[in-house]
Amino acid sequence: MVASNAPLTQMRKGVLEFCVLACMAPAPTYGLEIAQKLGVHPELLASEGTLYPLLARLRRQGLVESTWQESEVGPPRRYYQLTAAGRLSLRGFSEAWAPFSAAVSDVIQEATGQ
Amino acid sequence: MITTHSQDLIDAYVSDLRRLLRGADPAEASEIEQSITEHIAEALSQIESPSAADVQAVLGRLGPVERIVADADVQLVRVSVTAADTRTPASAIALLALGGLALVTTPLWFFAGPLGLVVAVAGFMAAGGKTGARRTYQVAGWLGVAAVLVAVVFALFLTATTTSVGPGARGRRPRCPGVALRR
Repeated sequence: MVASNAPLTQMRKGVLEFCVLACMAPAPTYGLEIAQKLGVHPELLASEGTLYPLLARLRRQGLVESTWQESEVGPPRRYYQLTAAGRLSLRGFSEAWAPFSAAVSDVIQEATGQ
Repeated sequence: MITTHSQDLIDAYVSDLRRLLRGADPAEASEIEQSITEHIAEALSQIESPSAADVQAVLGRLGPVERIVADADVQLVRVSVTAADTRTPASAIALLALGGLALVTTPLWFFAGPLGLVVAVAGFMAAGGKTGARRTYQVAGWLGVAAVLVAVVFALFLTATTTSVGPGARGRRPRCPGVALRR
């Protein structure tokens, strides 16, 4: 029996936006760069295109803002950066993530003995 | 510089995306389409003389357009569609009124019958399409059907009554049965 992808899809929905916010935390970045960073973890970003609806939503929610900047190698790029609300949201997630993931690991370990 | 074939691949991809985003919030749809176009241009700018295979690889990493649209703010799209559905367009109300008119004027079967038929056809056609107020159109359609049926019954009844008035009336079909009855 093959394991369902549904749990991964559900987890991804809850976590991906914070990973996107985390990509912008050090410095403003553009879509392709975020896609390449997250693309090395297929569990997080199954296809690069799904990043853009998410970025549009984060912008609408006021968690990120975008500006256009000229590129030396290609067309102008839309750079995304965190707003104050975005930083706050990311900090809240970061603080909650470690105890949350530890709790989940404990429960699974207890149940399966793995 | 990319080839015409490669450009066609990109155009087809973006065109499919645009088509599937139709109905979404226009500002959001435009932003997503623009971002995807930029992503493709940026990814290809990092490759010297990208081939069709390179373009396909870039599009492949972006994933199927259906998945992108599924990840768009479906909730917002649903909200706007639901809002549109709950608004009853004036045409549906007008059709409903005409259906009612056809039904109450069935004694004038020669007027109500054709009117009911038109309302029934228009109502069911509109209800079958991707329109809001589907239910209103369906009700109008059924009113039209009812008007046609009652008008036919009236017509048959009045014709039978007229032909049985007497020997003098046989063969002389009056222009309006109502007039014949009053004689």
